[in-house]
Amino acid sequence: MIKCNIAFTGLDSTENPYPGLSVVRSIKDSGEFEGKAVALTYDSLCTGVYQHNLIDEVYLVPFPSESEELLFSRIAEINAKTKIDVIMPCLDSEIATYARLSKRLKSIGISVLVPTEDSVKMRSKIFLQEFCEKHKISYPKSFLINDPNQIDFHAAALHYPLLLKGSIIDSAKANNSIEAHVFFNRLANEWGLPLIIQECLDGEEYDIALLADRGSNVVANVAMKKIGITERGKAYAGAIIASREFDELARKVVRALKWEGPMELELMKNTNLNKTYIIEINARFPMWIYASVAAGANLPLLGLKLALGKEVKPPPYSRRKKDIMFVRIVEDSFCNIKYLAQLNFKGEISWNKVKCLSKNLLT
Amino acid sequence: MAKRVDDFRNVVVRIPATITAEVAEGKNGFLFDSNSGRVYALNSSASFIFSKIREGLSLSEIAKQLTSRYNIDFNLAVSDVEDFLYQLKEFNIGYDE
Repeated sequence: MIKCNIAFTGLDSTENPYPGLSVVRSIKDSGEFEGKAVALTYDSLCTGVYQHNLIDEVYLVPFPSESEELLFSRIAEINAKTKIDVIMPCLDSEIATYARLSKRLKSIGISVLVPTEDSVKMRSKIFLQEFCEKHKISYPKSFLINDPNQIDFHAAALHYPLLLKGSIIDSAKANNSIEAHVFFNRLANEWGLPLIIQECLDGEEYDIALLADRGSNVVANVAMKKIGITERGKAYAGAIIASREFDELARKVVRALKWEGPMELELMKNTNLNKTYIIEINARFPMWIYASVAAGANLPLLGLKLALGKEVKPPPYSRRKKDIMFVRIVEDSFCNIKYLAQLNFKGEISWNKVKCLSKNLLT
Repeated sequence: MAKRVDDFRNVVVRIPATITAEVAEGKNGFLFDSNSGRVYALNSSASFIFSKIREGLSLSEIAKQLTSRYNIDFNLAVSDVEDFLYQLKEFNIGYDE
């Protein structure tokens, strides 16, 4: 039994859900964890923090972009109230911040399993093409653009439809020049410049979730074929697969990036060309990570053990379960609106205390 | 390419271990390839043929059974089995022994 308290981020679960809640569920359902799940959120309307069946305490924290110093101070303040042993960051945009803060967090007794800042940077959308070229990994033709006037020039080479991507997150598929200019403005306003303009590949979409240890060895990985995809390109249904090709690709990428911690590899496979392209590398577990539990390799639990410095043995290949599919559902849950007010004004909720005082969270 | 009828009689097709099948004679069926993640829907005659392949029957024997089950000409049955085998091979979910 692992006795500790874990802080999680990335708990929003709206139309583009983040993986935080899935990571919490994976660990809590393992039966090997005894402790609190502490939610760190930047926004009081982050939906996952109201899942009081999974989350024990909630704290508002400042955005890393506001000030890393403020974020560290707030975490130290929370740590003084509720001892946090491990932080499991689940948002791409904050991994570099936690990589920079990891030594200071360690000095106050908090472990974080993250790669170095350089590794995080190398796999970012801006540098991914360079990384793939260097390591002979297929990657879609792409260009960085800073000006909407560059769209038509690159579109002549890439052809429509093409993709426009924000430098950190978000993308849009443009079918013509007019759409491309509209998407350029939206993405540039939301995420800043540069943007990536990229060819739209044909093929089947796959995803690998993996965990790497401090020596950049893949402890375990689980691969999935997307069999149901939303308009935003997110899988809402998938089939777990066992592919030696993907196992080898995962090892190659982890070694090349000198990676440590969780990772998601988004892939496109074109069987006619016999090519597998890397589309994106995310520095966190994917949203569907709870399926890794069903597949016989609980990656978040293994990640927790690694973060705590425990010895981790890869689950035997033979224990991988076949024929697993996942589907994503959306459901509403309820609590009294005073807890939204409380999170806004006090900056925290202890669901454990609330449940001790009242059996009905609607009052 | 599919085999000619003369070469075809004693061929037995093997299914890779990565294929999971839910098939029953006379009913629609379903295949899942745990290597590629692809799923395939089978109509009732494809499901019939697949279930016979799994029993280890030769293709000529399967064609005979298809003839009596669906009351069709033997040559048409051979052609149907050949077509199905061709598709299995195309998707890497069946190969000649």
